[in-house]
Amino acid sequence: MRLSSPLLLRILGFAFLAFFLIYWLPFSHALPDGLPMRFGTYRTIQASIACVWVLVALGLNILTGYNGQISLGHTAFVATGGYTAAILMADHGWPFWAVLIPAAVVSGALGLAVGIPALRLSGPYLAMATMALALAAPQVLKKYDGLTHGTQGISVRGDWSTAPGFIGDMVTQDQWSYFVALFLAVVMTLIAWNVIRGRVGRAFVAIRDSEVAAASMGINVPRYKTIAFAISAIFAGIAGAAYVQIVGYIAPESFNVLRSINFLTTIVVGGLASILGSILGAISFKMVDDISDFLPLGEGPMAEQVPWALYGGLLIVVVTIMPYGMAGAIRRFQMWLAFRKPSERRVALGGPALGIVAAIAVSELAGGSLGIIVGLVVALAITYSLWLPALVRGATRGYGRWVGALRGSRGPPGFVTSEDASDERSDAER
Amino acid sequence: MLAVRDVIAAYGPIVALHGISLEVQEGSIVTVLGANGAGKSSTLRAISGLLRPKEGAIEFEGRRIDRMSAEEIVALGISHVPEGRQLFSELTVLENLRLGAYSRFARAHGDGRRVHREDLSPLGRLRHDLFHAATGGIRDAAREIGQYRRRRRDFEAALNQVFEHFPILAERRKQMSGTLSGGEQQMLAIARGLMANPRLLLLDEPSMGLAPMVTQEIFRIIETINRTQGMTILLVEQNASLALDIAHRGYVLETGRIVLADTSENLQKDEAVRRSYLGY
Amino acid sequence: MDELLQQVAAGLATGSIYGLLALALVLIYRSTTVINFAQGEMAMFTTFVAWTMLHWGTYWLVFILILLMAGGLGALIERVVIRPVEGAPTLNVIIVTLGLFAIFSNVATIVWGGQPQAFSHYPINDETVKLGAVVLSVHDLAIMLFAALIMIGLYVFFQYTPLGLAMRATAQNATASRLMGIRVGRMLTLGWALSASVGAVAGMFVAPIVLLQPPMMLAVLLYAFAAAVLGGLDSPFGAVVGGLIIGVTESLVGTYTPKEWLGPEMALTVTVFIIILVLVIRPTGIFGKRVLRRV
Repeated sequence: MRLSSPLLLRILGFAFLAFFLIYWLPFSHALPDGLPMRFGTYRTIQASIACVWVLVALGLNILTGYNGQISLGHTAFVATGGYTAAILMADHGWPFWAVLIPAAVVSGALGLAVGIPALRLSGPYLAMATMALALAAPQVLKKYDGLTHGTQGISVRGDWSTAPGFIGDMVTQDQWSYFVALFLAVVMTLIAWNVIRGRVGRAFVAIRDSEVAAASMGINVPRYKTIAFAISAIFAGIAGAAYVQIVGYIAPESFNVLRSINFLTTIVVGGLASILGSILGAISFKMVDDISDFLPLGEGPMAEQVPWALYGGLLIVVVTIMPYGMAGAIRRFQMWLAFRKPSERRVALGGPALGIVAAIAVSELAGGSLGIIVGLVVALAITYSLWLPALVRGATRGYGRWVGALRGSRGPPGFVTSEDASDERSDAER
Repeated sequence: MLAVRDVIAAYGPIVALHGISLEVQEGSIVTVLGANGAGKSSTLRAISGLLRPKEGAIEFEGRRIDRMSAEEIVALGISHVPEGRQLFSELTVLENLRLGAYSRFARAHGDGRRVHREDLSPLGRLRHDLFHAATGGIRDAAREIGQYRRRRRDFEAALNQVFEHFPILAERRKQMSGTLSGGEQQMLAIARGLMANPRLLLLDEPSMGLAPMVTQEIFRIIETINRTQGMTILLVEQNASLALDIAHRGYVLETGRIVLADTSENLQKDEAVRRSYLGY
Repeated sequence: MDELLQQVAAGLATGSIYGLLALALVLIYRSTTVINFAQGEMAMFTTFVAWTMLHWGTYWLVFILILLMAGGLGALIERVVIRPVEGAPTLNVIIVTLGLFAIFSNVATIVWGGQPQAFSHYPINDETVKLGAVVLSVHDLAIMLFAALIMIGLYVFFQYTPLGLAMRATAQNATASRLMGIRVGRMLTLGWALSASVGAVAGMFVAPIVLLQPPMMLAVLLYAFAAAVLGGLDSPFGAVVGGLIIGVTESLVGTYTPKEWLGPEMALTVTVFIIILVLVIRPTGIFGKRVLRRV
């Protein structure tokens, strides 16, 4: 079988991602060699939570990216799943594997219930209505404390989170939690893939593109829109259960509105209507925490605030230059690659590869996020060295051109035909 | 008055105009005929600055306008009545007409503009933008206050003239423009174009979606405007027989190229035109 | 009865603040269909600047300077970060405003620290005034007065000045506006400037109530968003009315619902669910225009 270059790239991308998830995040903290696997506790938990966010992002992307319904209320679904799991585990002694189903079912039911009034709403009106859920969730959880233990939250750390049998001798609880979360993330990614590729997924996309046209093709629009909400909520519910299993504790304030908004940010930065995008977005969001490890900020408020201020700036830059998110940028890179000479192609692919090697090397020597960042810089530098002459040429044409070109409306700067050149003016003039 | 020379224009990769040349004499009606997608609207859009030509030149009264923005071009005296009318449907008839006159305030300054943003270096452009962001509003406000009386008088005069051509609009002046009938909307669109006090009026398919009676009425008014005010008109039409009746010259456009150019009498007699566009 | 009136009056006062910020949101939404999530944080930021300036100047001088500065800030933001994403999908522009949110809230913490500050030198004091059966503070009255003044001012501006007309036109049809000779870009910039100024007023009035601190506008922003949506996002009038309705509802729900299972802690929840109910009946808000569905 011959592999076409886009397919090869995709396989490479996912292989890198798998490597990143399984080896990179948990293992990179250089620890003494005593343990069979060199997991750092902090980094392990970070990686586990990244997996949880992947779950939420997948679900939200099905709803927003594929079905076109915006939601700013996903924390409510996560909290529902989380609380269902926590109550069953802490108060009724259920094992973790058993609570996944009820968590998914309860959250999915809430999703259905929300999906029905949502049928009448769209855009910012739907955003507001769903945000109301996220606003109300902590208050409701605090108020009805008979079931939810009120403000003090529920603690569920217990024997159940230890790995069974001989594996328990090899990995710590945190590590086991990580593998559980990773397993869930992988399984749910496959499920999401199946949903999207199938009949239901096609109906979702058709509805997103035009409800009227979808209805005229015989698609039951209300039904599928509600299903989208339910599926999305099921993902979030499972994520909530996984969260409880990792952190061992859940409280009303674990999930506030800002987090809901962050979920949306995650999928836009990663790439709407893209499974790869959901994963990339969730991981990169988690990496913001690493900025503080990397920058010499010391302790105190600076270490808290500076990364998030930078994150804000980064957010603006990313959505400006990658209008279709990271996944969109990768697609564009593939397109661009398809038209390059083999020599250039080697550099363009070799750059990132070298970057990865550099990242591993540096992190083995210096540890942690420094490696990730150095690797990214190397990868970008080598890749962009191809584009450099074009970038310089672009710079002389005014910043409007720059933005337009970087934004991807017409390929990398400089590698555009002379036809595009005059469009620059209509861009700039407004 | 208007000269279009070898203009090539495109929407992204799709080339709409493959080198169009045409000329409009002062005081005449010139019509551009052609089928759907021939590039008629694109020609007008290129002239009014909505579509930037890739190559070629457009001159208006001896001045290159193909690198100017739409806002500058309307201030120079070219009014574009776009396809599909493009009214501000939630504003009243009067408000639409007021907006039509908006460019008159800018004109005094538009002519004497010292700096063209496009001529600047990237940094200069950024500075120019920031400066305008800071000062634009204040200058506009000051200018407005200074010229209030004169402008009001000019506006009233233009309004009266427009109402003479379209008396129905005077009756409907307080009405939401979206609630007008199709014919009235087209009249309002033309009236709005006239409010800018243009020297050249670009009309894009004024007959679109209208009943034959209404179309004839509108063409009669167009002819009157040309005759009584000496207004130069560039008229794009699918209804070739009506257009050729009132026009002095005509161009026939096919897939972005001019295939025929002649006086309307000759075009009306032309065998190919008769078969393809007049239908007899 | 007196208590009811009192609760309504108190609700109107807080509602005016929501309404002001909602008005700011609507000013931007109308022309660009973008919810500016940074609106509250921009107001917080300018209020902090005002707090710093109050060390040197009198309140009203600072007040006016801050309005101008906020306008400048709004214009700058529109030109520098919003303009480049103009043609991008709406969600991207919203994410940009979220990025601004993160920048403003964190930079404010870095510059001024996270501790709440008393907004001193404030000439409108807490003395109470008795109007019939209703007791209100001078501050509450001032809020309502300013909200009303700004409403009227904006109404006059949009309805009776050429510039206001041009802004309304731009919001409706940008291409046609360009053909009229309106510089659309400048109108958008102006819209952001206006909006930031209106938001700044809200900030100046929130600070004395909740103490000046970086997260102070978050809750207000969410309420304002709710108010704008309730009123209909393209209606400035609706935004203010929406704000008042939410203020009053919240106040009444807090007082008059059974404490065991609702009560003041659930005021927000009940209020937002009432909003959802209204939206289900009128999907584009109370004063919003109906949207026709096209293929």
